Amino acid sequence: MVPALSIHPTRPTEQPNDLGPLIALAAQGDERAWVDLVDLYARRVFAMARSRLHDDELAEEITQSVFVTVAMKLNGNEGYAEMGRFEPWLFRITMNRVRDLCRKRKRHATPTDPEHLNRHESKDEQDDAKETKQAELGQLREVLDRLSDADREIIELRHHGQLSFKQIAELLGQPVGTLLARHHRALKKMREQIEAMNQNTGSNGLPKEQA
Amino acid sequence: MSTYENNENYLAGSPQAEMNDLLNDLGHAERSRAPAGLESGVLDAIAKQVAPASLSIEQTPRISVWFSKTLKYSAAAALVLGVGVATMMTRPWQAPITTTDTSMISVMFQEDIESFLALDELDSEIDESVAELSIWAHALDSEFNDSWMALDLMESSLDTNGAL
Repeated sequence: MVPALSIHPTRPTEQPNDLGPLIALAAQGDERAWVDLVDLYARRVFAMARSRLHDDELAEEITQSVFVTVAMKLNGNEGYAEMGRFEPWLFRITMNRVRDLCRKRKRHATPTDPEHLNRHESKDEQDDAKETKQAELGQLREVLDRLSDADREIIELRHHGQLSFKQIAELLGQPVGTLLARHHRALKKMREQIEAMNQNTGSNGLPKEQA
Repeated sequence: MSTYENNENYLAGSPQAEMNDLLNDLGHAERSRAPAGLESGVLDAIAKQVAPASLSIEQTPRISVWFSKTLKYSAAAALVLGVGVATMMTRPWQAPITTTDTSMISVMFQEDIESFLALDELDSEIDESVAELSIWAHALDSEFNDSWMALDLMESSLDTNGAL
């Protein structure tokens, strides 16, 4: 059973070398262990979900749902069977949850133009002082949306979830060498697309012929 | 050692290195977009779903706990009162009998019996008195008749002699 949890404003500065003791404490219902686990991983899970869903609220809901699942598994009768592989396990749950939601969206919701979403994000972010950087990131999101699901997963697990290639290999069941090659290919694809976009647009973000 | 190992070394000198850095920035930006209350929201969700019985997160206002306790006590008091009223309503209405009243009733009952026996005795005495009176009345009546007859005989003898 998870005991009463108290919220601590402090956050762990760095991840412990061995997550085992922390996971074991959390499984026993240790309050501090849960706070540390959530502080370590909640934002990484959120970033993964948000990158795919383009929706802060949905990403927050997914994050909560993922951690509730983790807590139930850790405290359940079946116990925690992923010894030493907590991170791949956590992000597998996240990916499955996001995939399910994306499938439901495709089935029921009206199709959303990712370019339209990115324009929205860019507009919100124009309030920020780092306007140029935000524009670059907006472009990057747009290009990321165009990648295949398989390539996109590697990029998001690596850069949003901050997993090592070894952990991604465990999670996806692929050799590290294959993953490195696919990662490299995805980066190349993205760079080429961004270069192509920049060739077609002027410095003011308008298409070259209009600029 | 961080889990986020720097194994992008394979990109050293590659034109993809800049793209890799940009993607790291994008990941950081996405993590930073998380609302300030993300962690506390997650902890609340865990506490609610996994351990609903131990919902005493420090941020929860104490007033709600106090209110629920007050509600429970009020409900218990109302239940006891209701049962009491229902019991009183189902019983026939009567004055409560006390120990003093019980002993008084027994005394009164004894007195009633004594009075009845006394009356019965009185009744038999009355019967006897009535019988005596009746005999006395008969005796007086026959005595009176005898006297009357004697007087009548005297009168008739006076008339015959012409003087008393």
